[in-house]
Amino acid sequence: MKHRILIVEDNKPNLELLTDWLESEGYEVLTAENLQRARTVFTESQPHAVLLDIQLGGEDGLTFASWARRHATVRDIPVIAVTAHAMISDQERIMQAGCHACVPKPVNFKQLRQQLDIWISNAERLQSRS
Amino acid sequence: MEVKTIRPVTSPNQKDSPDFRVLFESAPGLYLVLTPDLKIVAVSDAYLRATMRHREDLLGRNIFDAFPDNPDDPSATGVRNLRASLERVLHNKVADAMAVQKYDIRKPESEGGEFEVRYWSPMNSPVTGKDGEIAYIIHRVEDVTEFVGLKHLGIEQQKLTEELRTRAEQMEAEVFLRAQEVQDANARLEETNRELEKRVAEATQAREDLDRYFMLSIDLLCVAGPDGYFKRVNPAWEKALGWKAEELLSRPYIEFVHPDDQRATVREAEYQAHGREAVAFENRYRCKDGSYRWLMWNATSVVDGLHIYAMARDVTEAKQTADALVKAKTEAERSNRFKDQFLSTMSHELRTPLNAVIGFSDLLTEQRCGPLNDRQGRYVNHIHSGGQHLLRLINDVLDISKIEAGRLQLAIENVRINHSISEAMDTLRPLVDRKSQKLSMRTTTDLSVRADSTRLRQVLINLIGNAIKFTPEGGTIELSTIQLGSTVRVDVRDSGPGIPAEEQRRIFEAFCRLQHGEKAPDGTGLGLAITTRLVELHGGYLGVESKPGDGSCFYFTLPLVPTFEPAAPESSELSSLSRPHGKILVVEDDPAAMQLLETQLTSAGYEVVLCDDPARAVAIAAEIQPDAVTLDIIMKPVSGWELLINMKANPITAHIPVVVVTVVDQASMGALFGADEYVVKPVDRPRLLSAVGRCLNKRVRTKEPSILIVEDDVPTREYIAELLSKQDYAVKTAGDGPEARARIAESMPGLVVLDLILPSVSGFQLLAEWRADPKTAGLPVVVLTNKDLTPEEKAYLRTNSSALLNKQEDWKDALLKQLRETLALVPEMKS
Repeated sequence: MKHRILIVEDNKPNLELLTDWLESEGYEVLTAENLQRARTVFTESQPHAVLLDIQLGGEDGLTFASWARRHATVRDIPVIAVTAHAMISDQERIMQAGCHACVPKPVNFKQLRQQLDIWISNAERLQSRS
Repeated sequence: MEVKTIRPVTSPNQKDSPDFRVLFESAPGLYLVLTPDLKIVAVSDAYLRATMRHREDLLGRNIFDAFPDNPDDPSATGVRNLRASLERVLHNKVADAMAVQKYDIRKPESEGGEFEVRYWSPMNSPVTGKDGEIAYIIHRVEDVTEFVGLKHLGIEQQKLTEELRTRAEQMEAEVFLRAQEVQDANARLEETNRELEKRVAEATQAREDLDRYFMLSIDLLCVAGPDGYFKRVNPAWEKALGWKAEELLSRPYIEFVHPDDQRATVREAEYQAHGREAVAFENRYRCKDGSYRWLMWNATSVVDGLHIYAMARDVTEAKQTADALVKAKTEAERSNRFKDQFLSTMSHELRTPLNAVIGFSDLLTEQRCGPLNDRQGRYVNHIHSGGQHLLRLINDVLDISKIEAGRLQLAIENVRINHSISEAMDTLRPLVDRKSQKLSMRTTTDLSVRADSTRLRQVLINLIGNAIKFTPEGGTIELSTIQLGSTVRVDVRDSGPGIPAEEQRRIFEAFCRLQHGEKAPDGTGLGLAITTRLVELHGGYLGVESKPGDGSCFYFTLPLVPTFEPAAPESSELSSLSRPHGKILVVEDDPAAMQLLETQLTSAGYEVVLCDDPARAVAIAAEIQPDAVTLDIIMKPVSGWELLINMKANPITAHIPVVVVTVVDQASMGALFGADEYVVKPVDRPRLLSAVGRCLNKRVRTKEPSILIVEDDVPTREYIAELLSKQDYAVKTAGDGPEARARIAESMPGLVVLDLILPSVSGFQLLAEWRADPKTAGLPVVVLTNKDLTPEEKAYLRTNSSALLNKQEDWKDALLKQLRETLALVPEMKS
């Protein structure tokens, strides 16, 4: 089964980059360019993981992460922050908001793949247990 | 009528002038004329009659010779009083009326020469001559003997009631006595008056002195009345504010106070009216030119609460300086915040497009969208490496900004320097090999230094990396350490081209490049600047010794661990156990790494089974049932994570301990998926062996000791519980202090994870209780908190807990490490 990944990203080149890479890695890709759309896609299509940009125009992507963690049905879906906020303090803030992992931009694809593998398999394991 | 009958008496010399002597002598009053030396020069007939004297007996005689006191009257004061009166006249040159005097008169010898009691009412008047001096004194008396005598004799002149008479008698007797007292009092008063005059003169002098100070003071002095007006101000006011004194006095003083300060000023004045002193009260006064000056007041009201005496100092300049300082500080802080914000934003804004540059060039390089021709391939490589270079630059700029802003915190610990050097050398070994260089360390005794191990590694990698870059192929790089007093010096010596003396200073500056020598296009120009500052942050010094053509030697110093303290707790419990034995499955797809692991494990006495095909690893493990598995993470086609999950999910392999051996530094991830141990490459032999040893120990353990988690925050508590449960620890939890006490009373845990901020009973209190109780005094406690700790609290926790972990930092790995190290010893303690 192909894993579905939701990309939340407002920067067009970066959205295209992630989309192309994910597809070439064999994932199915969903996209959202703002948080409202992201919430809709997220609840409707229940992706296996979310790649979340933190600074989306005027919106704070972390509100999405916090929102996702508060909803029982989608709580275990891993949200991986993909952000150009690379300071240690930024990363703490990101993890505290409820993201499962944080991958800095520019994206190291090897690292991103590793995080996706880890978190998707973890989520599946949690599911199979319950 | 009588007057008309008197004929004018003429003198022989002055036919028209009356004979004054005759007139005087016949005057009806009792007169005596004295010279200033009190000789009698004239006397009226009436006086002669009253005193029973003849003129020739008196003229030319001293008055007191002529009229002595009655020797039979011991209380006679006539002479004394008369003398005093006459002296007063001479001194004061004004008439002196005397009280009624008893002045007895001696009868003529012909009549017996006895004294006769007489009472007189005298008056002495001066007669001044043309020179203004006293020429004569006219002594006039009235004989009141009859009157006084009548009373004394008790003869009634009038029909008086008995009572009135008695009173009149008393009063009249008293009149005399009083008159005496008045005279005495007068004398005393005169004395007092002279004293008073002296005092007044002194007071006047003192007042003048004070006034002079009042006028001279450079502070502003004033007296204010209860009506809100100044009553007096000194000239300093005009100098400070420009107002003349009369201007300041003409209006309520509050009108001169800055509108914003008026309320406070009124309040302050009220306080003073109630007797409180004002100390260092400040307000602004308006100057004549409309500007304001800051005045600082010391004031006190006088006892009656009416007047306020106050002193003010013009503190405008001092205040302006202070304000300027505060403003400058605020400005500096603001600009610092702005700088931080700017760097953070800039970093973000640069990374976003760089993500596209590096990402797309990555995809092209991997030819995911079809093959590229050679030229296209080269171009894409240029784009990619350009992007990477830019990224390093951004990271370095952020690094150096953080250091310069003082934001870089070092985690100083005792570090074995040889160990750090070996690690750095291992990391760079591939680069050395590529250039066929020889990289070696001349080992001496193993010294420990006080350093942040991560930053020390960064320093070493930078210096060794530079040496590799600038040393030609086939060259040599040698590291050595030497103890110099209380420091350790590390040398990185290369056989490169060397650095000319004039460039040796410049190379430590940011963005400096050597003009000669081999190019190092991948450097950012910040490496050495950052390295220098990192060494300095450790309290050390970085320098270079070099001669062109003779290679370079970069060296740095670090503080030596003062006395012998064991460095990182490299556990040697392995060797203390019986000789290790057991079968280890090594899952590793990199042949070099595999060989290294094999050597390290077999040399320690283990039997090693190798597996270079991750796809078959689980099957092999299930078949041979090793005592432990070492597992690489980055492998293809199946990643180590996946293998780990599969192994732990498979009942046949789930019990086999797994040691993750990887370059991926994410121990928490390993723990999450059930790895028993986590060793980060490059592999350090003792670390690997102790990890494997612990796995084997653990396998023979029948039961894990339980861990008590004391944490009030539910998500955190559950998270820790989950994390530890996955490690097969038996977990108990408590949400507050009383619950924690109950859990411990039930059964003694092997270790406590303790939050400090708890409801009702704090973690500090629990810890103190446990340490005081012999049963729990040795209980291992790991403190996990996000409380900002004071140095005292830190010191307390350092001595009373096994470890102190900060929730703000990456505490998961540290916690697991602590659990392993602490609990590894527990079974032995129990048995």
